[in-house]
Amino acid sequence: MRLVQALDHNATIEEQASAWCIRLASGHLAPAEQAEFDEWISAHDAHGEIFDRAQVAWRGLSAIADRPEIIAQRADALDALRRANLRRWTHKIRRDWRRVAALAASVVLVVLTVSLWSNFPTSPDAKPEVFATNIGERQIITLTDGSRLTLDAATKVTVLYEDDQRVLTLNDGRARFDVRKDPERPFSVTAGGRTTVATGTSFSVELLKNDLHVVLFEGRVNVSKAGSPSPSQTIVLMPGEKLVTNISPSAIPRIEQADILGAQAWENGQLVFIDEPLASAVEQVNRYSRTKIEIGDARASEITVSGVFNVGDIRAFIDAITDVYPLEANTSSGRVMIVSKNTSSLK
Amino acid sequence: MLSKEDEKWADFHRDYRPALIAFFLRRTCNYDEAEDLAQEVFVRIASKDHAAMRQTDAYIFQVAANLLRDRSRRAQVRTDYAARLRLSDEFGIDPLDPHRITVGRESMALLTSALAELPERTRQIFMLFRYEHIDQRTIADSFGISVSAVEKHVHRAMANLIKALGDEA
Repeated sequence: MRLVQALDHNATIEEQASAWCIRLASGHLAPAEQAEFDEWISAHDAHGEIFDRAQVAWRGLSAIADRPEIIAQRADALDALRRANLRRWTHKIRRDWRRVAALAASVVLVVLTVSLWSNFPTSPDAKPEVFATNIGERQIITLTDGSRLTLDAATKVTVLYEDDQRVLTLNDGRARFDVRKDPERPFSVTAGGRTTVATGTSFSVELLKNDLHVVLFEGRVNVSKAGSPSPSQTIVLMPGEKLVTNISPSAIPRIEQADILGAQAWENGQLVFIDEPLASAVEQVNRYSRTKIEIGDARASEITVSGVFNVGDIRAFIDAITDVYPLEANTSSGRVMIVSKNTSSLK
Repeated sequence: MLSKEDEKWADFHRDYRPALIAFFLRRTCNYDEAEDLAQEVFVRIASKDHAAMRQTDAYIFQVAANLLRDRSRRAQVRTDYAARLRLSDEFGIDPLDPHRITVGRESMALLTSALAELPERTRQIFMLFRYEHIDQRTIADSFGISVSAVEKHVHRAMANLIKALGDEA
């Protein structure tokens, strides 16, 4: 394939240089492409000059990647992508469900699924099943009833399906639950001393060291104290709302407007923080990294941070927060200590 | 899952490959040799220490220039007549001009403002491709456009950045 000629034939020299630069950045050239590149770059002095500018631009983009205005533009682009995908997937999923429903033969499917996927006998001696992910790992699990479990890194969920209820426990980390509707068998997730009950809906539960977050994407859930669901203390979440509570039993939960796109970003390998307390941001970043970040002083942990990060890019996270906020990072023996600048200079 | 270092390394390759290949290609007129030399630069920098990846452009191109000099000596030993002619020629008329190939503070400012001036959709597509490493097929499918339309957005964005850098000269 003639690379540059595959472009519009009225492509400018700059556009041609861009095509070559990106082609070279992505790997080895095929023999025909080598000849073509040779031909192109020696065809005109201007080609070489503009190609040099192209590669300066290409590398320069990495040099500015963490500037606040660029981070804002990256967040905007990811947002646009997510919105576009959301539209696409909701159409697709609706279509797919209809097709599945139309399959009367799905009985066969279900039988197969049960034997392959689960050890959830629907008998009284049902046994719980444990799903867990390691650091930096994510996993999507389809349960026997078609409900879907999306596990973030360093997460553990215990699933117990009984005849009359679906009982899940989030032991660690964060998971999203896309619940297949079944009014006869309520679906509940217990974490941090609170139980979230749903019938057919989509929500995520996140357990941090001291806090519990529940974000509702669709449908309706009730959140109450685990073990003693008293109606007067039950909180009803509406779509787009986020419940935040300390995990101590006496804590009073508060309801916030959730950043829905940000709250789902981890499923696409992104962490989006908007005025996130540093302690909670660090805890999320740590799920993807063997090198752990710790916060050295209370002043630092009160700082709120904003930004978009690729999960696993702990270095970019540290660079960004120490660049933008009055913080500094000290690395020693496999961990990174974040301290506020003034505190350390007082020492 | 890639480790942190692997990822940094992949980024480093992606950033410097076009520059190094072009740098060597124009001085050796042999693509395979340019590939080998570029690879050699990566190997040398990797074997030093990973901190070199954060080194300045000047350092990386110094490594490249040194390699080229070594190679010209080897070429002479092999009495690679054509290559030698070509090399001495090239060195005469096209010395390494660090100004032209390094990323300075000024270029960074020019790039930042040129990005801000791009049309919104062009910028979004370019950001996803360049920074988030989302492949063109995925971007095309998500936005419901063709891969060649995505390519056009990407090259148009790059063209504007290249022009912005050109205005500096």
